[in-house]
Amino acid sequence: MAQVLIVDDSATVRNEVSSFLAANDLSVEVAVDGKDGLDKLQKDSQIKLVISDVNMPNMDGLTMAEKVRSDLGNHGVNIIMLTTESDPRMKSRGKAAGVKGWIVKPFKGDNVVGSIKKLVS
Amino acid sequence: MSEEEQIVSKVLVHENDEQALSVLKDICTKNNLVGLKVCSRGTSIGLGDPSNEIGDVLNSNVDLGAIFLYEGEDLHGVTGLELCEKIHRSRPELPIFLRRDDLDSIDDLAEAEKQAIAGCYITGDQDRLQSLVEEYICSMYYPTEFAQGIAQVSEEAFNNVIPGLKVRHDMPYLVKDQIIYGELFSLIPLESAWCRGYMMLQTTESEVLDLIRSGRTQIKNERPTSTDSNNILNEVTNLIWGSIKSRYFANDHNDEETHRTQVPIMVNHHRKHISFGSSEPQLCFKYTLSCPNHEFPDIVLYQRLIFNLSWTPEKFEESDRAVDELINDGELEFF
Repeated sequence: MAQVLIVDDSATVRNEVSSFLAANDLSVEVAVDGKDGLDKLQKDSQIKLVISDVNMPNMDGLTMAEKVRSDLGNHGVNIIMLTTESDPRMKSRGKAAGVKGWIVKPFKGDNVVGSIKKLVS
Repeated sequence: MSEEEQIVSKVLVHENDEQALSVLKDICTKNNLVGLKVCSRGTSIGLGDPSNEIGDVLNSNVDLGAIFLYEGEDLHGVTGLELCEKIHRSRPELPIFLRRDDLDSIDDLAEAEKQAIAGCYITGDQDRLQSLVEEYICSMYYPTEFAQGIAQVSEEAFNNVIPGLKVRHDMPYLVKDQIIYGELFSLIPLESAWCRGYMMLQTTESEVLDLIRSGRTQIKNERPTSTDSNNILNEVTNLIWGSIKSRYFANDHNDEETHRTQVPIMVNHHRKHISFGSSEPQLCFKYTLSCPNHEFPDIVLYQRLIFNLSWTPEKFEESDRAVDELINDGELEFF
């Protein structure tokens, strides 16, 4: 049972974000791409927040966000993107898919931990 | 622009004539070329077996833009024409410029020799030499602001993935060779309305593994594997790529993704060559990552930008407007 699902194909980012959140008393699950993320979300109904990369193999983060709403019908989970992308067109697509927020990498945990905790609660 | 920010190119010079060397020196100065003379054990040019010595340089990690040779015999009785053919066989991508005694042409040479030579000039003909340099080495213009920006975003990416590092870079330079440095390289497309090509990062696996063992990265593994070193290079590549997109491609409004040309990328593992199908000079940076506490050996990375599919630098612009609209990296922007 996890509160936060981190979806990123980069092990470096997965380690960085998950160790930071764990140190801030949040339970974390990780997934390596959008497809894996969807699987993990289906299996764990306790997940309150998904922090996802955009560019990933097999299934990208925006497609995953769209499928969370359309295929899983999960409107309760919050999704924020953590990505190197800052293209407004991508942000618009994310917004349309119900994404709550956007973080441009690199991850700076201290800047966002308060917001993350609010989204989890 | 400071000297450190100028784009240069390294050329290999095998000459023993003082006048010719003086002309080449002027040309090098005028065109930001760094001339590397083939030397041996502190003596002057061409001692020892010149083909071996040139071979040593070509097989080393020196990125080159061209080679200057003299057609006649050097101090060891080896002619420039003999060297031309040998060099061309091992490094066909490198233009060879031949200094001739009398003829301003290579029409009299054998077919194999002609194929090996990009151009020739007679001693003292600075104009001809200049035109060869412009045609073969300085044929692609890279805006210096672009080169400066690439170095800046790259150094930021290195520091983000490996905090506390000291990062320094040599002058950006133009290369025509296709040598792969180290065992590890990443390749990611750079696509915009004004350029299309790739960014390649090259390094050695052992250096990255030493870095991971030092505990300075997010990969916590005392016995790291190649997967771990791949992850580090992958993340650095991703961060640089994202920054380049934000900084230089954000003004693009061209959604046309179809009917775009592609060419095969050829890799020769035996020769450690990679070809992108274009002979245009590539923009290259060499970074050295050092740990202030010497917890791991220096890491050397070569970054190449290869715009083999499209390059219209006159349309280059920094995305000031787009950058202004962005929030700071690492901040959460709520929708």
